Amino acid sequence: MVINTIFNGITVNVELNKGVNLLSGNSGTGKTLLMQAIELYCLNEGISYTFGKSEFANYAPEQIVSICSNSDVVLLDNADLYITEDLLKEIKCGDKLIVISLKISNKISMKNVREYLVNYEKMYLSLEEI
Amino acid sequence: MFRGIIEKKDKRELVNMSLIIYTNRKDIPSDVRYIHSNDTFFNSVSLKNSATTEKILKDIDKAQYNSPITFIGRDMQLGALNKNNLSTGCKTLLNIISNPDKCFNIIECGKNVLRLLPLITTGHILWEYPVLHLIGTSECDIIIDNKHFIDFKQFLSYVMDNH
Repeated sequence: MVINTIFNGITVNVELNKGVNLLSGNSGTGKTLLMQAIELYCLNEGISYTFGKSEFANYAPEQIVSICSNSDVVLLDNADLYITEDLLKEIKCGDKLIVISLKISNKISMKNVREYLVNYEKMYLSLEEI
Repeated sequence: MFRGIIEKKDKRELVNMSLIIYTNRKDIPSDVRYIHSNDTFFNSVSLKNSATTEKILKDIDKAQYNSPITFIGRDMQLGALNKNNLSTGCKTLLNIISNPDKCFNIIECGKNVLRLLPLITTGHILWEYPVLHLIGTSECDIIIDNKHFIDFKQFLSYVMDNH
């Protein structure tokens, strides 16, 4: 999925692939901002999506799986609060594109995971694969 | 015992002073309310025009204070932004400073946030994965495992050796 759009005046130019896309790195780099931009892109393009935030920590794993089950794109922000390897395995059943923001990356298996740093500077947001 | 480590015996002193770190949720005293979601809790916090807030905003989000509910972000042409657009890491530190009687989970804080822990000299945090490779040199006022540290470098050494 190539997203080249303007979000709240900020140019967003990123490419994401099906499977798990991990956003890591310091606080304040623009991870949540990118997820909000992807959400708007999905709305505009008619793509089914789920945007999980810290509230997911209040749900049972099976509820989260159910919420995500009919979405082509799953955005998991604040995922340190609720993600486990087993939960991620369940969520990614099928052909989903998953974007997950995580500080403690050893909470999930890094097998088949693409990891990125977000670069946001001078009204321009992009991704750098690491 | 290292210079900079003080054993604290007086419980009252532990509660009223220092940043107290818990590495296990069940160690949080029952009279200290635990906050899991920093983003949600931040809705109740106003920005303060103080030197500490300015440093947190600048160092983490490249932002500056504008009003109790707004800040100026790294792109000044966007104008004043609502405080809810701050990063979760930034919100977490501001939550701790504004509510020293509550305990906040810092699992969502990046290394650039953890580096600023010495700025906070009172409050409670839950740090379940205390790994920090940065070497700090500043003073601090932190209690972990009932040990009181006033030197951040010695605090980091202790964390790396014991957790």
